[in-house]
Amino acid sequence: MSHFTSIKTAIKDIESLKTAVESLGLTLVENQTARGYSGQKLKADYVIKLKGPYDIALKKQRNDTYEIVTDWWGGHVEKEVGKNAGQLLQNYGIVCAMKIAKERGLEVEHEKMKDGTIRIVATEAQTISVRG
Amino acid sequence: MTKKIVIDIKKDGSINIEAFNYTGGECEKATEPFEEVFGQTTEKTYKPEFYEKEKQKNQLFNRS
Repeated sequence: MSHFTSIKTAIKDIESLKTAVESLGLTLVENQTARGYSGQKLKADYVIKLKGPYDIALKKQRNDTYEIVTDWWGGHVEKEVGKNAGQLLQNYGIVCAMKIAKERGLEVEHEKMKDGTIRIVATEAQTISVRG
Repeated sequence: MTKKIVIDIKKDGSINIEAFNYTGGECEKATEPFEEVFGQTTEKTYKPEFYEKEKQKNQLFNRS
């Protein structure tokens, strides 16, 4: 055992986000306007088009992460992406973790825990040397 | 012992990463790509094993 790290997920990788968005049956579009309350519209770098009356705008910040901007009123957005976009962020985290593990050549197993947490175990492949 | 990284991704999107069976700074190199892609690290706690190799290094330097 070596260390524990706690992380607040921030969206950085658009390709991974696209996969996460599509896993929820939604669409990610670039440089469009997001629908808000009472016909209001917000132009954004990326927009997650939802099935309900509002969309989610993603605005790039100075640290290259994307801020989630949406109207949480009425529960319309929460219904599709989870409370405070939790489901979206969880799916995004899963996609990112699997992508990095694959790039690093790690063996991956995953399971869903009782509380809804997804546990990913990435193991370094053991090298076996054979004497000839 | 097999080196592994356990990543718990919670329902609210927050993440805990735990590295197992690494010594010294190896664990940081192993988890860094994950930490970078996920976002903002809020807390990091080092286990005793992290300091094992560091202590050995210091002992070498202290020898006259």
